[in-house]
Amino acid sequence: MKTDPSLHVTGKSEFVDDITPISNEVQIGVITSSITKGEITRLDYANALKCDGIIAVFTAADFVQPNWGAIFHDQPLLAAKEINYQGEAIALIVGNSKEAIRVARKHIKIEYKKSDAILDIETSRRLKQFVGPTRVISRSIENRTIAESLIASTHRLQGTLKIAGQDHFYLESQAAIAYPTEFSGISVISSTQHPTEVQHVVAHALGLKLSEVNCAVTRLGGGFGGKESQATPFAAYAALVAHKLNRPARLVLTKDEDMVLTGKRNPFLIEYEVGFNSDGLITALKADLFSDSGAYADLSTAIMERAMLHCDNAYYLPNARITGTVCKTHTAPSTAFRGFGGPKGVALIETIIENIALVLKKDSLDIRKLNAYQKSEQTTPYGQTIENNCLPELFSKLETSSQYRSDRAAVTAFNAKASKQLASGCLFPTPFIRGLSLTPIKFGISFSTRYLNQAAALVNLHLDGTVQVATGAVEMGQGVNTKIALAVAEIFGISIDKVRVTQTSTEKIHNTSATAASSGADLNATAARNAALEIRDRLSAFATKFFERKQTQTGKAPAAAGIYPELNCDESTTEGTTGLVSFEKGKVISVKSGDQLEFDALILEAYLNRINLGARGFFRYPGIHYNKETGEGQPFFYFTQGVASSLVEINCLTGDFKLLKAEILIDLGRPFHLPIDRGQVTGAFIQGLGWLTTEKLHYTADGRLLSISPSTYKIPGIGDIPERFEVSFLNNVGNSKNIRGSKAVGEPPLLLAISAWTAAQNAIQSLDTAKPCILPIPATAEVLQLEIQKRLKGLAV
Amino acid sequence: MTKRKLPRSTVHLLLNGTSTTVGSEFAHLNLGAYLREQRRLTGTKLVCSEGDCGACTVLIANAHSKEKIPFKAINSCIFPVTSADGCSVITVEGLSQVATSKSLTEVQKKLVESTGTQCGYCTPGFVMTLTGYLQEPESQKSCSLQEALVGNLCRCTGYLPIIEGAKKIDPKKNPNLRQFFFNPQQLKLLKLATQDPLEIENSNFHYFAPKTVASIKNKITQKTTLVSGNTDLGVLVNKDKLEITRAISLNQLTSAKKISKKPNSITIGHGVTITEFESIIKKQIPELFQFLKRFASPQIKNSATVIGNIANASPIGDLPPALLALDASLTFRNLKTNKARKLQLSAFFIGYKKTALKPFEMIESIEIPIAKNSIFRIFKASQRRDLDISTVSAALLYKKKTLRFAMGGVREKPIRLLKTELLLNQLDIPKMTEPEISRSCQVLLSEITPLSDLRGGAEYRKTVATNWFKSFLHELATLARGHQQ
Repeated sequence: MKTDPSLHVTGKSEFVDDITPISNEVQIGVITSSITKGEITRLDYANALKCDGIIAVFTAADFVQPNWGAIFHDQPLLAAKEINYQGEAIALIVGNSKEAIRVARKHIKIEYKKSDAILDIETSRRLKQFVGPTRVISRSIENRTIAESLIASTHRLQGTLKIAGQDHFYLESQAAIAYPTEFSGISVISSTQHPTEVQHVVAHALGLKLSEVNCAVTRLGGGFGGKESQATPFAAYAALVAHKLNRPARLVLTKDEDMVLTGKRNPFLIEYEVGFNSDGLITALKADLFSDSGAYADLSTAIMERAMLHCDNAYYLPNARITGTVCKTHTAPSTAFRGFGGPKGVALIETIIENIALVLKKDSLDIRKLNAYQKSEQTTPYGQTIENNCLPELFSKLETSSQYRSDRAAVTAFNAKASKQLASGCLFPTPFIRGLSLTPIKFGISFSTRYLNQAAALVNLHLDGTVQVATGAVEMGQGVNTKIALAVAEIFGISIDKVRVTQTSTEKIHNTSATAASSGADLNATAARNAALEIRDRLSAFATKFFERKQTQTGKAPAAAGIYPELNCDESTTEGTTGLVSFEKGKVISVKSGDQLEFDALILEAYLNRINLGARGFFRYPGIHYNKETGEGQPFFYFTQGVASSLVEINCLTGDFKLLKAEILIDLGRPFHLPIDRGQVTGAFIQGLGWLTTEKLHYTADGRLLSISPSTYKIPGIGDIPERFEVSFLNNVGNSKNIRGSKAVGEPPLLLAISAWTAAQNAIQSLDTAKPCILPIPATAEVLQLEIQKRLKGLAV
Repeated sequence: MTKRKLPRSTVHLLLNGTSTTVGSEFAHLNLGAYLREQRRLTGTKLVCSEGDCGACTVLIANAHSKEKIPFKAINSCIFPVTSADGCSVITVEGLSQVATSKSLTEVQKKLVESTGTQCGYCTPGFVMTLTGYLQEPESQKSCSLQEALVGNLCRCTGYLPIIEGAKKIDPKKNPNLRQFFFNPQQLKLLKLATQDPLEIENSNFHYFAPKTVASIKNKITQKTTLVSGNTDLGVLVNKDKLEITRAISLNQLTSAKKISKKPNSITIGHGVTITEFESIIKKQIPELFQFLKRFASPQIKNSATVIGNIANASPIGDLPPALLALDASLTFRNLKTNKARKLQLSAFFIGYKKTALKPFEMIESIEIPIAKNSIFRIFKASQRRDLDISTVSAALLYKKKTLRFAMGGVREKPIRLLKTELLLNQLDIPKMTEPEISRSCQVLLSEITPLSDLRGGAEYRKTVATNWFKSFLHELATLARGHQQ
């Protein structure tokens, strides 16, 4: 067994902090700011240096280039003077042991001059603390302004949606070990989704050439976007220490440190106005999106872009004006998180639809079906056509299979009874209300920044017929390595056991993009497949010759490989030989003669005849483009679509929320690997559920995060998953756009959990049909209870 | 043979079946750190260091205990290595010795087959919890599969593939842990090696695990921290909020596991864990038994003690409201003078994390009256249903026309709502009118001054408190009407 799961269950998988230390390795502690905004006036670490086991303290001045940033180079690796958030890294303390650092760090004295901090989007907006320009996506089929379109609409609704952040809560906190190499180079092992960015930032920060730095990563104990850009500074810290001391240096954050130091999902504030007709058809949408970037830009502008590109979700918006403004505040810099802005746009339109349904006294599913993209001339507000649109089919299939209409009738009856009890003022037995909602997704696949949509892979065949593959993809539990191995194995017709995807390393594959945007398998498996195809073509040409020669030497079966006379392959061409040989079940077969050879025997023969048994493959998503300035283009290679139906129950006394039932139907084309893809769906859905319900980040009035560990920050537990939790896949074998007809799965299902949140909205709206409800995210028990309270005078005092 | 040394200065344990000693230089470590850093057993992961994620779960069985099911899942991140003295410890690496096919155990095999692992970081913890849960047919009776796993967080899978895999486990194919890690021969040797009390010391830390109260007198100082389950103190130490330089473990005292049942009350010793408590009260106080399903996790409950949950005096501790409503009482023991005294639990909490305990006193036992023929309800609101402490909680007990009402999360300490009780106890509670209920809600609100903190706002806590209170009164009224009919 060579797959990761068997290593995981035996505890043998090696993560960064599991690597046995080399004897002269040092440990690093990060000293952080205890104020939110201001300046460092004194930093005195003399006493810390005197402590037992302490080797050095490093500060910003020790870097050759002190700044970094995923898009803008605006973030200091270590704060030199200016402090922009509580928990910002100021200095590195280096010692022989964690215990020595624990004791010594208390002897570092830092004095500050505090100034006023900006802690919310509203203040940042007022003070115009923006990152980059406000972006606009605007389209009007009526050639009117959005204001005119809204005025012309039969009905109008406006409101504000507030969305808070979410911590990634990967179980393996940020970690890196750096080793000094010959010629003053550095080799870093980092728990990163983006080895190339680590390589580049380390080289830049230390004044090294890119060719002098390597970054390697075996696997991550979870990433979810939190290690796309933000693993980088910790790798740079380890590299600095290793470089300065010429000793291996290890930096592993505790969970508490990780949650304080690293950024979260961007909070958003969205102001909107929607116009619709009496059927519920949306005629115009005006949405102004404001996101909270935290203290530095990080990836926030790109995240905003994806949020704007997903405000339509599955619905045709003939007239729309969507703006996006990134606002700076003094919290940890917000960063990528599974969905990358998409969930905000989708949450917006889905909550709006629940409100439209309430106003028109219709079922929200009917409003959704009415507005869903159906005809090919219905393009997105940014002008992309939707090929292979499955939305109508998805809606109708799940409506039937989840028994939506009978669920609806049951919910209506249940709530009628609850309302009666609540009206009587009797709180025993405990009153509950229920809600039901079925929401879709149409998630765009590809990085909206075009150049990131490329990948390379190295495939090497060994003489025993086994294969090593290296790509730029990082395995973090999403099963990308298994998919890559599968893609390569089937090209050679060999068992997946024979293919080993090796450690990701910038020495093997360079200029990699982050494993992100759901695209890891699409890009890297295709690149690996392309490499494998190139080798297979060479093998086909060789095997054709080999079988021809064998025909002329019948009766002389070789006793051992390599005893055939040499063939002249010097001028061999692969042209015209493809298809003459087939690769199946570990054998290579001549289509003409039926002669066959074991795959490993062919490899050895090929080697002896000087056939190149390695190749580097390359792939880029074809044909995509997007103009950020005009808000127009075809940014996505294709869309992953799906629907989910959620049935929820809320305790009216406490607001306790329970997802009773969730049924998911998703279109993954021809799924790449069904069990892995299904795991991505269930995992993403529950992660989304956490974002929407229990995962609340609590900050003090002066900007200190208090939810910094699982005792205070509540990701879903095993008891939070619905009793009935079904995942099925749309039969879409006709999909041919992507590798093996598959579709990317990493992020899209997270957005399906929005159905649980709109179901809660539906439940609360049932209490008072005159009061549209817009739930903030997360809609915690407290939020739900207070919303219920507002609608019931009889409850409590 | 050398002369028996009193006391011992080395921890003796079985680690994955191999007799192991831990020297004094590591005495201050938690078991998880010891396993990872000193033994390079890195399959055990340390994530939260507060017993709230389960990645560090290992199985442990105490040679000196007489429990039917030997191995218990614990959080090794908050379990002192010294507490493993006299125990057999199994880590994920140890399972390879009892693996059946393809070097996997049944649990491991089923998790692989169900794709129950993604990134793999939480996986060893799940494997250990499940292995413990399924070790013997008896062990599955205590709780459901889902309840057994509430102490293990997974961020990748959404749990469904884990549950699906776990349901396919054939218990008959499970390894016999007893045979490999806890057989009579190993037990005998372990008992022999650990029969003398452990006293271990390094430059910053002194640890003593006495067997008698009398032997404490000369060891205890003002700096001594009394340690039992360590599920609370262990967190404070890991988070650098507490430094323990001298510790006395109370686990080995004969009073620790003492249980006595009288017709109208149960008395339990200071070392009784929540898990043990659950089986003691299952029949006598079923409401409390049900409530404990929402108390922390199996790993925590296997270490944490009932007395510890009282002694830490948290205003949001899960047990105090119920025990206050039951009108429990405590017995203290002075460890210098060996004298005992009694105190009602209602007089124990005197301020924020302040108690009536005097220097050198320990809580020796708690006596819990069994309220027969009563209506007893315990309510809890938390941010997450499982593995979460209360945001606000309440316990109401109605017996012989009298109400006792206690709450957590509404003041600086767990409280009895004495004014509310006083008002109600003058009335015929089941026949209270709505104006009377409203008036009593006002009294209730006058007695509570909740904070707004990360677990919830003051308004929310007040609203929930009155909702529960009203719901209870409405229940009494409903029941009374039922009796009349």
